[in-house]
Amino acid sequence: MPEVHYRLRNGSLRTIEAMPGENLMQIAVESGVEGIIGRCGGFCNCATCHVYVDEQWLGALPPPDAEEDMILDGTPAERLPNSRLGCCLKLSESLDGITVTMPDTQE
Amino acid sequence: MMTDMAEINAPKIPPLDPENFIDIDLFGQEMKRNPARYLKEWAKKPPFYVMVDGRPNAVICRHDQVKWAFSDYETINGIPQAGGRITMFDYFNGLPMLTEFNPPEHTALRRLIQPGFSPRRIAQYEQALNTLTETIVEQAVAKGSFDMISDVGGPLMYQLLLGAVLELPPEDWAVFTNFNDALELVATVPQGAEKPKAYMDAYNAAYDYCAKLIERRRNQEPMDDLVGNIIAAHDVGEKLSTVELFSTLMQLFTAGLGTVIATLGLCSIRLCRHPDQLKLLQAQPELLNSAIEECLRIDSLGNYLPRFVAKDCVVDGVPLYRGMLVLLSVGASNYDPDVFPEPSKFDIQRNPKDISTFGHAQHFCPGNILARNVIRRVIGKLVSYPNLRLANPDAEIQYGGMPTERFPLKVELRVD
Repeated sequence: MPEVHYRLRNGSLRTIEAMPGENLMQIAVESGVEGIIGRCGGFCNCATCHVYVDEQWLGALPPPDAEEDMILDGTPAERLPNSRLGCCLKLSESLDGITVTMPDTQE
Repeated sequence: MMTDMAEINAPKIPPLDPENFIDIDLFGQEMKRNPARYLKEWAKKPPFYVMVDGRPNAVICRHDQVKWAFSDYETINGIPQAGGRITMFDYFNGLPMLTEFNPPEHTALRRLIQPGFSPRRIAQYEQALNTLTETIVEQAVAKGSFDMISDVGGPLMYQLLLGAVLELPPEDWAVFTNFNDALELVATVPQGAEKPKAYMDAYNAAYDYCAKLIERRRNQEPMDDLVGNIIAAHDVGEKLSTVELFSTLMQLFTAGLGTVIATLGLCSIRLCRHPDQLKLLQAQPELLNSAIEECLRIDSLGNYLPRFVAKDCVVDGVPLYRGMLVLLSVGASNYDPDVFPEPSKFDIQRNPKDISTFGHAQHFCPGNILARNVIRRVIGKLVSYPNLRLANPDAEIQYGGMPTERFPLKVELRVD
């Protein structure tokens, strides 16, 4: 099962095991990982699951679609080239070990 | 172009099991005044039926079922069926509401509005919100007894939403505050009957205003703001029909007004009626965000959001038939004990997640961040007064608003 590493605002790392097909926001919210809210429930509608993906994993991800791109433009923390929405990142074995960092704020 | 509204013949609904009916006035004063009494029981039940205006309506209450109903738009959605709109919910006189669209049309509309309410955009109004809150609350408390609705919520939201966010000149605000006030007049109109003159006058004034605004914007240099982008989507991109253009503008100018004002009233009542929790919040202001989420959970402004069954289905053993009106009880969902243990307990340290107050999924309220910011700021300011209390604690609060909502008409407070 793929593991996701979340780098929290205090610098510590939390690791959560995911089922393939789950998304990165969903498992964080279900496991109480601090720093991800996911208010809309994973419909790319609220910008509260913004994460920064570690550079070495960017190539393994499909690029953001038009919806994700628009929502990322409205995140309160700065949008960087490695900004993504957790709800749009579907996990699979090929993403086992992916590491993301929480932004300073989600809303 | 958007899909035409599907208006089909009245549904042929087979006989329904009488055991699944509840006899209650879903939209009456008792339901608005004491919703928790009902919601906490419904939150443990499968869907049930209620006769409304001679038609069986279904009510969905459990948290997971409400979330499913918001998400599975092929089965449950806002597209009017069964011979057209339900008059008591036809707030925009036949103009389609945003909730009446499914993806991909809904996605296109949402894409126009969302950027105007993104967290980053909302952060730009922080200073205006702070200044307005300080000024308006201080003016209100100086009166001695003041009304949270007309002395605080109203002036603040008009200035913030119509002034700062939508940049309408102050002399034009009355068009939309009048229309917003008139929306609830449709609540008592019998199915298919004409709407009252007061409503139609307010609607026509708002519609005419939008027509002039569109003309004015077309004759000026195009502006890259929220209103400008919506007009361009019609004029340049042909992504919106004329009806949808008006519908989007009318909703944009009214949707956030009454909802936030009423919620400020509900939060004030709840905190003042639970002095232990109010004192805790005053002693630990860092609990403010959690306290507001708990207020939003336990006192959802909407008891229900209306939808239609688009495809026959069975939910938790209860059949729902195509064409039936189905009320998604966001109020009851917030009392589901599987998600919120001891749901009737008001606990400002609960910090509830996944509340249904703003809807879920595709139709999750785009204005939720602005609403939350306003509520936190205003309630935070109010509770900074150590003697905050209801001016007449024994007086019964009267509720109005849309049939599905509970809008406290007057919430008199004192801080001296």
